[in-house]
Amino acid sequence: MMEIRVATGLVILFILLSAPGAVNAKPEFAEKTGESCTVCHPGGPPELGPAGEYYKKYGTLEGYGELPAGEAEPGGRCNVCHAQFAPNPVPRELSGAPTTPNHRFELKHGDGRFWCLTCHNPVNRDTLRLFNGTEIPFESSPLLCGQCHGPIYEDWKDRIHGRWVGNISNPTPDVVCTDCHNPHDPSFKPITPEKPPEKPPEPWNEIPNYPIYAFLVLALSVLLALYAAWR
Amino acid sequence: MVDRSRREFLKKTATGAAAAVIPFANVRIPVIDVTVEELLQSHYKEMSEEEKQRVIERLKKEYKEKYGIDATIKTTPPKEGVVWGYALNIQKCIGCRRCVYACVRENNQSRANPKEPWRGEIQWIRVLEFEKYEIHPGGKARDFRTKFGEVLAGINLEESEHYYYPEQVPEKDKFYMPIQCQQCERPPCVKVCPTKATWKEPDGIIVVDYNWCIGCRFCIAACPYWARRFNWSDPYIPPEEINPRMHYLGNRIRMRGVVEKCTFCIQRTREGRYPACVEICPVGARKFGNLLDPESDVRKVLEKKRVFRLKEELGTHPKFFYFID
Repeated sequence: MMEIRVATGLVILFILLSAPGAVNAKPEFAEKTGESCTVCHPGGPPELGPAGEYYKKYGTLEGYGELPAGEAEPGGRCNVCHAQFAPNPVPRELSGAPTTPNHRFELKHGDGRFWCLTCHNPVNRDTLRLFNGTEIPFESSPLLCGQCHGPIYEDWKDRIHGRWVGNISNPTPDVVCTDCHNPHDPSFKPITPEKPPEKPPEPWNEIPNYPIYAFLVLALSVLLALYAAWR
Repeated sequence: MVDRSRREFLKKTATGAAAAVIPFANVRIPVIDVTVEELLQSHYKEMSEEEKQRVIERLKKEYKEKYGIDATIKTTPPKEGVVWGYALNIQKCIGCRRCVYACVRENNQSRANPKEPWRGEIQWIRVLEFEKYEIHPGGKARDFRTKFGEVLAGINLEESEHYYYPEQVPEKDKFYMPIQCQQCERPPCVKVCPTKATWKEPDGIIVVDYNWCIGCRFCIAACPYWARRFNWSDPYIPPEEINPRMHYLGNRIRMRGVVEKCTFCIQRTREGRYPACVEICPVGARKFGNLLDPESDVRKVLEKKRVFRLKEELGTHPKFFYFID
């Protein structure tokens, strides 16, 4: 029995060694990033996906998930990987999913009733989906948020909520919902305040011999009071 | 009967005196440290367009010499059918003071001088931090106590702190309330000014002609909102931080001995732009617009939200509204 196991192991090792690229890339990549193979090879090795190309070019995946300047909204790249998989509607722990872009975070929205496909379109991951099944681009996210947050959406349309810029008589939204509120953790996070105004110095630090003056004034007042009482 | 001869005599004397002064226009009078021309300058509301241009040219030259900047000083008049109003959501404000420093940079306020930081610093916006009371049942024994003792809860508007500086804001159980000029419809500061150096413009903004301010600070005493600031010393502004886009009644650089205040960024709003504090607010708590336009941001707030004004009982009728969601 033992011999069979060892033999099987040797065969597997031989197969792995006969594909030198995969054996060399995997440990280095895994050590550096802790990612799974599908991040760079969404269609399976040896083909490289956009993340793989990025890694080949820069030697790191750092900054890959961030939007390059000029690209307005996220959602342009999801299908590169997701077109390869059938959508799985069962809510589950995404332990094997890549962290670049991050798929392994705690969803702090909806008190446990939400799951990725509540908002993301299962058929086309480059878009979002409304409750009625309408497909909308990422840029139109306020329509999606407005489904639950109706009064806030109305306030936003009336320019009471959010930040508006441009001409006062015809302003445009500076930001949409997801620019200020992370949709996966929407509460507004505390920030560092600017420094307070300078405090004026206390007189006893500023005026030399302040205690002497203070004592003299006090003593004079007491003497005057005594004099007034005596008269 | 009008005494024509006397009137003409006075007229001629005044004209003659003015003409006699012209050669000395640029002479700087010691002690009070102003030029003859500056001293004899008319009130802004009485200036002709040529006079305004002359004054602006003089100021530009002065700023070029002193700070090395090329400023544009405008005198944009108010728009017809516009009265500006402001609304601030105190439920949203997190007390980050971004507005304070955006205002300082936009309006060329005197910075803290590194040598004596507290002497020259001027900020038009002050953010107050309030603490919420905790409930302590059964604390003090009073005659009118309930069987639970005295239950103190809520907040105390009389006690606030404006030097707060925690690592992160908002802090738990604190709330924040920025105060600045409320642009009263019945402004007590205007009423008390002995030289009429401060007045309400047709678009509702209270402005100051800094050249006519004599620094008596009556307006500071009259203002119930702690909105006016006095230049106790020559303003300290690093030249590279000066905002060169100025308005004569707004953010032009002030001098020692005059009072200044928030003008809703007159240099921006009269050209259709939002005030600097509105644009910077990271939580979108500040709203601004034309009170006469039913579609403006402020009118929408007044229509939909619960609004209050500060110290309403004083009858100053501020055009600055605080609201909650």
